[in-house]
Amino acid sequence: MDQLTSKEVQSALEGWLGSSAIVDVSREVPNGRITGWIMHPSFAGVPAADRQSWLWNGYGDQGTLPRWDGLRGKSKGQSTQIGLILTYSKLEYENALDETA
Amino acid sequence: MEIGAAEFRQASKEHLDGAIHCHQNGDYLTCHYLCGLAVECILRACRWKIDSSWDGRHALLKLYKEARFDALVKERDSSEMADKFYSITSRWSNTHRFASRAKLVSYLNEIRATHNVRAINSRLIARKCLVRQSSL
Repeated sequence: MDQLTSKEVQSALEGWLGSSAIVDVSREVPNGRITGWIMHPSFAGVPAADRQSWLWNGYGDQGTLPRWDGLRGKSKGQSTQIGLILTYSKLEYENALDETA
Repeated sequence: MEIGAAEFRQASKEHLDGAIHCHQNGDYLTCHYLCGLAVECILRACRWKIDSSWDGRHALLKLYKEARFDALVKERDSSEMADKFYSITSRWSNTHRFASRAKLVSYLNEIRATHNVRAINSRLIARKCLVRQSSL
Protein backbone atom coordinates (compact mmCIF):
# COMPACT_ATOMS: atom_id res chain seq x y z
CA MET A 1 0.00 0.00 0.00
CA ASP A 2 1.29 3.47 -0.90
CA GLN A 3 2.23 5.68 1.97
CA LEU A 4 -0.22 8.49 2.62
CA THR A 5 1.55 11.81 3.11
CA SER A 6 0.73 14.33 5.79
CA LYS A 7 0.40 16.96 3.02
CA GLU A 8 -2.45 14.96 1.47
CA VAL A 9 -4.26 14.80 4.80
CA GLN A 10 -3.53 18.47 5.51
CA SER A 11 -4.91 19.58 2.16
CA ALA A 12 -7.98 17.31 2.41
CA LEU A 13 -8.86 18.78 5.80
CA GLU A 14 -8.18 22.36 4.69
CA GLY A 15 -10.36 21.73 1.64
CA TRP A 16 -13.22 20.61 3.87
CA LEU A 17 -12.95 23.22 6.63
CA GLY A 18 -11.90 26.31 4.66
CA SER A 19 -9.96 29.37 5.64
CA SER A 20 -11.43 29.83 9.11
CA ALA A 21 -9.85 26.55 10.21
CA ILE A 22 -6.42 25.74 11.55
CA VAL A 23 -5.07 22.37 10.45
CA ASP A 24 -1.80 20.98 11.73
CA VAL A 25 -1.00 17.37 10.91
CA SER A 26 2.33 15.66 10.51
CA ARG A 27 4.12 12.32 10.62
CA GLU A 28 6.75 12.45 13.35
CA VAL A 29 8.25 9.01 12.69
CA PRO A 30 8.93 7.70 9.14
CA ASN A 31 6.61 4.68 9.42
CA GLY A 32 4.42 6.10 12.16
CA ARG A 33 0.88 7.39 11.84
CA ILE A 34 -0.07 10.92 10.81
CA THR A 35 -1.31 12.84 13.84
CA GLY A 36 -2.32 16.37 14.67
CA TRP A 37 -5.22 18.68 15.36
CA ILE A 38 -7.80 20.87 13.72
CA MET A 39 -9.62 23.94 14.95
CA HIS A 40 -12.86 25.27 13.56
CA PRO A 41 -15.17 27.85 15.17
CA SER A 42 -18.20 25.70 14.24
CA PHE A 43 -17.04 22.96 16.62
CA ALA A 44 -18.06 25.10 19.61
CA GLY A 45 -20.81 23.41 21.58
CA VAL A 46 -20.59 20.19 19.53
CA PRO A 47 -19.79 17.04 21.56
CA ALA A 48 -16.32 15.63 20.87
CA ALA A 49 -17.78 12.29 19.73
CA ASP A 50 -19.82 14.05 17.03
CA ARG A 51 -16.80 15.99 15.80
CA GLN A 52 -14.76 12.79 15.60
CA SER A 53 -17.58 11.12 13.71
CA TRP A 54 -17.73 14.02 11.21
CA LEU A 55 -13.96 13.88 10.82
CA TRP A 56 -13.77 10.14 10.22
CA ASN A 57 -17.13 9.16 8.79
CA GLY A 58 -18.22 12.29 6.97
CA TYR A 59 -20.53 15.26 7.17
CA GLY A 60 -23.77 15.72 5.26
CA ASP A 61 -26.00 18.73 4.71
CA GLN A 62 -26.93 19.16 8.33
CA GLY A 63 -25.19 22.38 9.26
CA THR A 64 -22.61 25.07 8.81
CA LEU A 65 -19.80 22.96 7.39
CA PRO A 66 -19.49 21.78 3.78
CA ARG A 67 -20.20 18.19 2.79
CA TRP A 68 -17.31 15.84 3.40
CA ASP A 69 -16.72 12.12 2.92
CA GLY A 70 -14.67 11.72 6.06
CA LEU A 71 -11.08 10.59 6.39
CA ARG A 72 -12.17 6.98 5.90
CA GLY A 73 -14.02 7.85 2.70
CA LYS A 74 -11.25 10.10 1.38
CA SER A 75 -8.29 7.90 2.20
CA LYS A 76 -9.95 4.48 1.84
CA GLY A 77 -7.59 1.75 3.11
CA GLN A 78 -4.85 4.30 3.74
CA SER A 79 -6.82 5.80 6.63
CA THR A 80 -5.15 3.25 8.93
CA GLN A 81 -2.05 5.42 8.50
CA ILE A 82 -3.81 8.24 10.32
CA GLY A 83 -3.70 8.31 14.11
CA LEU A 84 -4.98 10.80 16.62
CA ILE A 85 -6.47 13.95 15.12
CA LEU A 86 -8.04 16.14 17.76
CA THR A 87 -10.82 18.61 17.06
CA TYR A 88 -11.09 21.92 18.88
CA SER A 89 -13.31 24.94 19.00
CA LYS A 90 -11.54 28.31 18.98
CA LEU A 91 -11.64 28.70 22.75
CA GLU A 92 -10.48 25.13 23.40
CA TYR A 93 -7.68 25.54 20.89
CA GLU A 94 -6.42 28.70 22.54
CA ASN A 95 -6.44 26.88 25.86
CA ALA A 96 -4.70 23.77 24.50
CA LEU A 97 -1.85 25.72 22.98
CA ASP A 98 -1.58 28.36 25.66
CA GLU A 99 2.10 28.67 26.47
CA THR A 100 2.09 31.93 28.31
CA ALA A 101 3.11 30.37 31.64
CA MET B 1 18.23 19.58 39.92
CA GLU B 2 18.47 17.06 37.12
CA ILE B 3 15.24 15.40 36.14
CA GLY B 4 15.20 12.38 33.85
CA ALA B 5 12.59 9.95 32.52
CA ALA B 6 12.33 7.95 35.76
CA GLU B 7 11.81 11.11 37.80
CA PHE B 8 9.12 12.42 35.43
CA ARG B 9 7.39 9.05 35.58
CA GLN B 10 7.47 8.97 39.37
CA ALA B 11 6.23 12.58 39.54
CA SER B 12 3.38 11.66 37.21
CA LYS B 13 2.30 8.84 39.54
CA GLU B 14 2.53 11.08 42.60
CA HIS B 15 0.50 13.86 40.96
CA LEU B 16 -2.11 11.32 39.92
CA ASP B 17 -2.28 9.99 43.51
CA GLY B 18 -2.64 13.60 44.66
CA ALA B 19 -5.42 14.17 42.14
CA ILE B 20 -7.31 11.09 43.36
CA HIS B 21 -6.92 12.26 46.98
CA CYS B 22 -8.28 15.72 46.07
CA HIS B 23 -11.17 14.17 44.17
CA GLN B 24 -12.09 11.98 47.13
CA ASN B 25 -12.11 15.06 49.33
CA GLY B 26 -14.21 17.13 46.96
CA ASP B 27 -11.41 19.48 45.95
CA TYR B 28 -12.22 19.14 42.27
CA LEU B 29 -10.33 22.13 40.97
CA THR B 30 -7.02 21.10 42.55
CA CYS B 31 -7.74 17.61 41.22
CA HIS B 32 -8.21 19.18 37.78
CA TYR B 33 -4.82 20.88 37.94
CA LEU B 34 -2.97 17.80 39.21
CA CYS B 35 -4.48 15.60 36.49
CA GLY B 36 -3.00 17.82 33.79
CA LEU B 37 0.32 17.94 35.59
CA ALA B 38 0.38 14.13 35.76
CA VAL B 39 -0.22 13.92 32.00
CA GLU B 40 2.47 16.52 31.34
CA CYS B 41 4.97 14.52 33.43
CA ILE B 42 4.33 11.23 31.64
CA LEU B 43 4.66 12.96 28.25
CA ARG B 44 7.90 14.54 29.43
CA ALA B 45 9.16 11.10 30.50
CA CYS B 46 8.58 9.80 26.96
CA ARG B 47 9.98 12.93 25.35
CA TRP B 48 13.13 12.75 27.50
CA LYS B 49 14.00 9.38 25.94
CA ILE B 50 14.08 11.07 22.51
CA ASP B 51 15.41 14.46 23.51
CA SER B 52 16.78 15.09 27.00
CA SER B 53 17.00 18.85 26.57
CA TRP B 54 14.68 20.90 28.76
CA ASP B 55 11.70 22.47 27.03
CA GLY B 56 9.87 24.90 29.25
CA ARG B 57 6.67 24.92 27.20
CA HIS B 58 3.70 23.15 28.73
CA ALA B 59 1.34 22.62 25.79
CA LEU B 60 0.30 18.97 26.10
CA LEU B 61 -0.50 18.80 22.38
CA LYS B 62 3.03 19.69 21.41
CA LEU B 63 4.54 17.43 24.05
CA TYR B 64 2.39 14.56 22.74
CA LYS B 65 3.94 15.00 19.31
CA GLU B 66 7.48 15.53 20.56
CA ALA B 67 7.17 12.44 22.77
CA ARG B 68 5.91 10.46 19.75
CA PHE B 69 3.27 9.16 22.11
CA ASP B 70 1.02 8.05 19.27
CA ALA B 71 3.45 5.23 18.53
CA LEU B 72 2.54 3.77 21.95
CA VAL B 73 -1.20 3.82 21.26
CA LYS B 74 -2.62 0.67 19.68
CA GLU B 75 -4.96 1.22 16.75
CA ARG B 76 -7.90 -0.30 18.64
CA ASP B 77 -7.36 2.23 21.46
CA SER B 78 -7.07 5.25 19.12
CA SER B 79 -10.61 6.50 19.48
CA GLU B 80 -10.60 6.20 23.29
CA MET B 81 -7.25 7.99 23.38
CA ALA B 82 -8.59 10.76 21.12
CA ASP B 83 -11.53 11.23 23.48
CA LYS B 84 -9.41 11.30 26.65
CA PHE B 85 -6.64 13.43 25.21
CA TYR B 86 -9.13 15.89 23.77
CA SER B 87 -10.70 16.19 27.22
CA ILE B 88 -7.48 16.96 29.03
CA THR B 89 -6.05 19.30 26.38
CA SER B 90 -9.24 21.33 25.97
CA ARG B 91 -9.84 21.60 29.72
CA TRP B 92 -6.37 21.96 31.19
CA SER B 93 -3.66 24.54 30.79
CA ASN B 94 -0.59 25.24 32.83
CA THR B 95 -1.78 28.82 33.19
CA HIS B 96 -4.76 27.58 35.21
CA ARG B 97 -2.57 27.56 38.29
CA PHE B 98 -2.77 31.36 38.22
CA ALA B 99 -6.53 31.48 37.72
CA SER B 100 -8.96 32.09 40.53
CA ARG B 101 -11.45 29.34 41.23
CA ALA B 102 -14.28 31.46 39.79
CA LYS B 103 -12.34 32.20 36.59
CA LEU B 104 -11.48 28.54 36.05
CA VAL B 105 -15.03 27.37 36.68
CA SER B 106 -16.25 30.04 34.29
CA TYR B 107 -13.92 28.72 31.57
CA LEU B 108 -14.93 25.10 32.23
CA ASN B 109 -18.59 26.08 32.07
CA GLU B 110 -18.04 27.95 28.82
CA ILE B 111 -16.61 24.91 27.07
CA ARG B 112 -19.37 22.77 28.64
CA ALA B 113 -16.83 20.69 30.57
CA THR B 114 -19.01 20.95 33.68
CA HIS B 115 -22.16 19.85 31.87
CA ASN B 116 -23.79 17.23 34.09
CA VAL B 117 -21.02 17.62 36.71
CA ARG B 118 -22.99 18.31 39.82
CA ALA B 119 -20.11 18.89 42.21
CA ILE B 120 -18.69 21.97 40.51
CA ASN B 121 -22.05 23.38 39.49
CA SER B 122 -23.61 22.95 42.89
CA ARG B 123 -20.62 24.53 44.61
CA LEU B 124 -20.75 27.43 42.21
CA ILE B 125 -24.46 27.81 42.75
CA ALA B 126 -23.89 27.65 46.52
CA ARG B 127 -21.25 30.35 46.25
CA LYS B 128 -23.52 32.56 44.14
CA CYS B 129 -26.25 32.11 46.75
CA LEU B 130 -23.86 33.11 49.51
CA VAL B 131 -22.75 36.22 47.63
CA ARG B 132 -26.38 37.13 46.96
CA GLN B 133 -27.32 36.59 50.58
CA SER B 134 -24.45 38.69 51.88
CA SER B 135 -25.41 41.56 49.58
CA LEU B 136 -28.97 41.68 50.95
